[in-house]
Amino acid sequence: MMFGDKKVLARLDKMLEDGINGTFEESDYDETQLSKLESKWLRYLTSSKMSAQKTEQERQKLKELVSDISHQTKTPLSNILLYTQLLQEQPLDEQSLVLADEIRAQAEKLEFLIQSLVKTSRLETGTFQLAPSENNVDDIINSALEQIALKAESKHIRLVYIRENYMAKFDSKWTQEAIFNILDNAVKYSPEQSTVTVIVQIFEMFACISVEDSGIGIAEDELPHIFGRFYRGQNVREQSGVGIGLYLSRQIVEGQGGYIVAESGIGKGSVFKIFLPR
Amino acid sequence: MNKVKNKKAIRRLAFRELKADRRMNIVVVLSIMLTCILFTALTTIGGGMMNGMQQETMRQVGGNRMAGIKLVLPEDYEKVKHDAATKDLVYRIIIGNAVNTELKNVKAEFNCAGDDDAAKASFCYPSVGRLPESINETALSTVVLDELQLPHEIGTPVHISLDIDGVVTEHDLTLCGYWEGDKVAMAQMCWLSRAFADKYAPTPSESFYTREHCTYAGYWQVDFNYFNSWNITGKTGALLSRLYGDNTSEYPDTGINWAFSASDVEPGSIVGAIVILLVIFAAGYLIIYNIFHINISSNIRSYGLLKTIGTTAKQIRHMVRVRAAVYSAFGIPFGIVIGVLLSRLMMSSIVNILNIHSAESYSVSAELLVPMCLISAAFTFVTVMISCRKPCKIAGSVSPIEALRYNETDINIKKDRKKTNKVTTFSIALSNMSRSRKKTVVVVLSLTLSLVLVNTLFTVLKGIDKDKYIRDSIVGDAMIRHTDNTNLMDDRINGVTTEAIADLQQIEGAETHPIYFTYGGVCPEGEQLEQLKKLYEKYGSDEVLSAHLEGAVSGSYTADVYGIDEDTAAYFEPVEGSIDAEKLKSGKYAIVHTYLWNADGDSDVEIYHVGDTIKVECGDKMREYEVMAVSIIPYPLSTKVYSILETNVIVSAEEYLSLTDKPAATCAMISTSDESGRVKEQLKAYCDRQGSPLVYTDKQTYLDEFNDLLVMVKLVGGTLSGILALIGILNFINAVVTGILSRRRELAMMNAVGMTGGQLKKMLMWESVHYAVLTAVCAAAVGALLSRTAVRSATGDMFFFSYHFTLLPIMVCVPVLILLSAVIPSVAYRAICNESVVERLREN
Amino acid sequence: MEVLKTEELTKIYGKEQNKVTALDNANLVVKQGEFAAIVGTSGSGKSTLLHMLGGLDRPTSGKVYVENKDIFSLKDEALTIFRRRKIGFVFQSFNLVPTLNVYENIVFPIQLDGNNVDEKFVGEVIDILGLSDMQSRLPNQLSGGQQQRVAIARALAAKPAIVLADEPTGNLDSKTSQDVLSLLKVTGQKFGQTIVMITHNEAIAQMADRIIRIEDGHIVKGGEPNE
Repeated sequence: MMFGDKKVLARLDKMLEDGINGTFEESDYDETQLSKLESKWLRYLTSSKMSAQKTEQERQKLKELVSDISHQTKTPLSNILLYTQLLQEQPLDEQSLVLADEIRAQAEKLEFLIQSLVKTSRLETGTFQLAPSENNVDDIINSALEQIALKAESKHIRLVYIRENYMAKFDSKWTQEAIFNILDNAVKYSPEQSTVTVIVQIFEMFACISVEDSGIGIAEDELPHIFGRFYRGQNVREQSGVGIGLYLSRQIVEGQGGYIVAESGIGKGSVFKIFLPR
Repeated sequence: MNKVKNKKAIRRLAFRELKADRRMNIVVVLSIMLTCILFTALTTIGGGMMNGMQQETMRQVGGNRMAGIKLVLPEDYEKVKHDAATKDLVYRIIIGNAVNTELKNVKAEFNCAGDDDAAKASFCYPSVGRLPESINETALSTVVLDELQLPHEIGTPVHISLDIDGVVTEHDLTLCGYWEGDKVAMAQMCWLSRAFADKYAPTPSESFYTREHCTYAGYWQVDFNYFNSWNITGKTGALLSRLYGDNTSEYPDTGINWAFSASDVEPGSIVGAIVILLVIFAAGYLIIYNIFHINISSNIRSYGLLKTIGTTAKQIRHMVRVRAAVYSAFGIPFGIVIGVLLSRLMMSSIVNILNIHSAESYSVSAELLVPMCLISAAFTFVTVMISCRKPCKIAGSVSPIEALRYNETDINIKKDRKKTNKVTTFSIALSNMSRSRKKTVVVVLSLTLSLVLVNTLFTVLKGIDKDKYIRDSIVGDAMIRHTDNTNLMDDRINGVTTEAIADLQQIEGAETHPIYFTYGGVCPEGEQLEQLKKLYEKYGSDEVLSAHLEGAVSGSYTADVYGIDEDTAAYFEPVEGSIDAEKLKSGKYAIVHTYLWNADGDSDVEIYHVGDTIKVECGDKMREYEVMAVSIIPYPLSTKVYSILETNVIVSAEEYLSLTDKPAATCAMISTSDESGRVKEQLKAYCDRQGSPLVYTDKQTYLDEFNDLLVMVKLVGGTLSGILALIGILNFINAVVTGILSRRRELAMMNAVGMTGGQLKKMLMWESVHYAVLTAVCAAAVGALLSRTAVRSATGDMFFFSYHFTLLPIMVCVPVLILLSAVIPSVAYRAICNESVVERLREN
Repeated sequence: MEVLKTEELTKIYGKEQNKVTALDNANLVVKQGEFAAIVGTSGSGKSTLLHMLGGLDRPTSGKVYVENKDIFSLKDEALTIFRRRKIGFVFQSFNLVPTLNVYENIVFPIQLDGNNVDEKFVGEVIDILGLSDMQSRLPNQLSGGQQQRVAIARALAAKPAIVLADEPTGNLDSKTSQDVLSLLKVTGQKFGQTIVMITHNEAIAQMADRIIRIEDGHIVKGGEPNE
């Protein structure tokens, strides 16, 4: 290789590196090909920077929109719920009562859906930052179990928790929500009189919270899809739900450097494992 | 206790295992072969050299028997013969020496051989013809025949003047046999018949040792062997006391053949021999051990597996040993054959290069070869067995689980290193070196050793100063002196007459510088007298010294008066003052040196110093000279005869001629620029002419002698450093090759993660170049140190040595070494590349 | 986007009667950012497949495309350099360079290429894999799990197109295996790294987004990405 070539290559390498780091500047303006190339390269960098800015702007707009929706729908929704309650307190005939109950159920579902969507959106766009810190796993599991206790009792489902005191790095509030969602699913899809077990295991790098149920299970084909947004299993169409809980849970866990896996099979029950970094 | 019969199963397994890994087997067998070659070559070359040197010494001594008793009677012969400790007795009867003028350059001893064996024992058995039988027959060596200018033909008449105990008789004899004479022999043996001996030198009836006057003729020289050559001196002493009891005065003189003196116990040489043997053994051990270790390590998983299915540690060890034995069975025979051939080749090339004529004596005889090979084989086998002890232990003590995880290369580095090291092929190579320091040390050490040895040898060879060596033998290009000028008779000590000098000066192309000599006396006065008195007091108790000093104190003592010309003066090296040829010519000045023989060893007693006046009497003349310089006269120019106390007074030739009426020179120094040899021939012819007592010697004679010395040093040193270099290089190749073989998987992995073949090769090359550089540094350091200290002091004693510091051989060897270290890894790496990356990765 | 694609990949070992078809017309597509597991019993051809994907071995016929480049059109030396830049390997037996410390092992392939190390990225990888405290240690001072974490870091450090993991937990106990797999998954998902892992263990395979089953050299399931 000629000495000159080497010099040119070194300069090109530097240009690219600066471009990648976002610190590129044109060195000099002269009649060389290299100078022309520099100008072109700067033009390319600027245009891609602009398009990145544009994307960022659009994302910002979207964020505002979501915030608007959640904000603007909050009052009417509360009002709908309030009025429905008031309506239910009225002496209504049998048929009207049923209708009122249905309105209330749908309104509550809508409220949950909007809340979940808003949370997901905020997580995705980064409005909410997950703030993982050293916490006791036991605490959040207890809180989540408390939250689900009533629902479980109504289905006579036994909650078993094999307690362990382990520390891990996670955001308490959000992780509790993730665990709750998994528990909620477990209780929802388990038959009456069954058991849901929570086990904590510890590894060198990770803490694993597994939630085992003896529900209907998930087909192997479906497993890769269950964490998708609005995905609902073929066998659970009759159950109420919006198909966003698992998705949200995954977002939360992965956001803090952990992950969720599910092991299951039709009729075998399911095991959901949340791995949190330590 | 009854044992389960499982030997067979184990052996079968061992053989199966062997078959499985063919390439490794070849490497191991090759390494065993190499070791065996090393041992065999070493023993046979060593044996050959020892044999050759012994033969050479024997030829110089003129006999191959271990010991002898001298000047004895036939009854002593019978006594020795009947002693149980002796064998191979031979005898010869002393008759006399030839004094033919033609034979002045050789010493021809006439003897009567007891039998054919006696002639053979002294290497003088006629190769043509036979020993003399009738009274007028003689057998001579070709050397004597050539000096007599007689043809090599049976029946040639030979005229000999024979000096028998001082009485010269003339004999006309007929040649009945001759043989190729040996110039190195101290004397030329000549044979006469028993009848001659009986007639002219009848055996006396009285023992030589109890007799009053010393005559030699007729006595027997008896030589014999013992059953082994161990401690000959001691055995001879024992023999004498057995034969003659306590009567030590009757003990005859004995002669120990110093060709066998190596067998006399010398602690130094034994330690040296043991060290060399250990080094060689260690080299062999290292070659085999490394490879064996790798071999076992690479099989460690299968040993673990065998353990899980119930093979005991003992059985596994047995398997490893069986394996080793099988390897040896293949490696050793080939090794011996190649070793013998190699040593033959090496010896013959050494002999050729060094121009040694008696090549056949430098090889090992057939009956010695077999035991030597057996010893080498045993040595190799022992080495193999010792080398496989540790791998054996590893294999035996491996636990099944460990075996699965076993990492074949132990790494000794414990230290944490800085995180931000830049990884290059260079730096990886460097850290690879430190992973097994032991190996690095061994390789570097053995290479260093050979380099240092070569360097030392070179320093010695370079330091051997031809001129210095010759200076003590000859000054100028040639010298002429009287044939027997050490004889104190006046006409011989300065036997080069003025007529001869005049004749010599006639020869064209040769400048003759006579060194005139005459005895005189010094009359010490004043200060010098006082000094002599002090010496007299000091050595008063010494009988001999005091007698001479007494003379000196009372008036005068011996002066050796030399007269030289200015060309000769140039060869003087004054210790005091300086020599001015012009001043010397004026006749008022002298160069002076005083010598006093004494028991304390300090022989140069300069009582005259520069500026002193010395009073010299010569015949009836008395002269005074001023001392201009103090200098010893160069030995070859001197009379070579010393008095107990003498002062050399060197004056100019002119002054000398005015001092004496009978001028004569002790010798003549000849300088010539003639290259053709014409001058030499003329000078030689002049000295050899009928009746001339003069002897001609020239530089070439001494140069030849010097070359013989060089040959010796080269032969021993060259062979030794050659062998060490071989060991070094073998170890180096071994280290590099095993290093690469044992890291096959590691290298494959590096290849898998993206190190290209080129980069790998570069890394391996760097690795061995590091070895080479380290070796070079070590060799230079050790070599310089050794040269400055040991070599310098050891050679300081040698008069012909002038020390020059040099590291040239190391400088020359280093590029070669680096080249070698760059080539070997590349070749070795190519060899492992025959397997695909995947195959190598899978290997466990 | 397709990062990896094979076309009728076939590998036959031996000749005549000893002929063994290790891989038979295997077709397979892996998308950017996928974590795919190739599952099969021993002898099913999965190792052969992985070796082909990584360019360690050449197929009898068929093609492998990595980022649309037919890798077997390259010569050996070029293929090695290709591997260095585009493929990160994680082997069963860790295979670290014993004389290099943890950090040096990780940046080894980058420096082989003569590139400057992206300290920020490598630091992040080291952090996630929990190797920050042991950067200056040598491999023989590490446990098996730690060594495998270093191997993962090494595979990721050069930002390859694909990480190929060959039974990455084969030499580890189950607890450590879980850790190593978790890290493989977490780092994959964090850096959007495409990972192809082979294993004979179903439970381990469950960690992957997609399972590719191979039996007797045939891909029987999962050759195409999930929609």
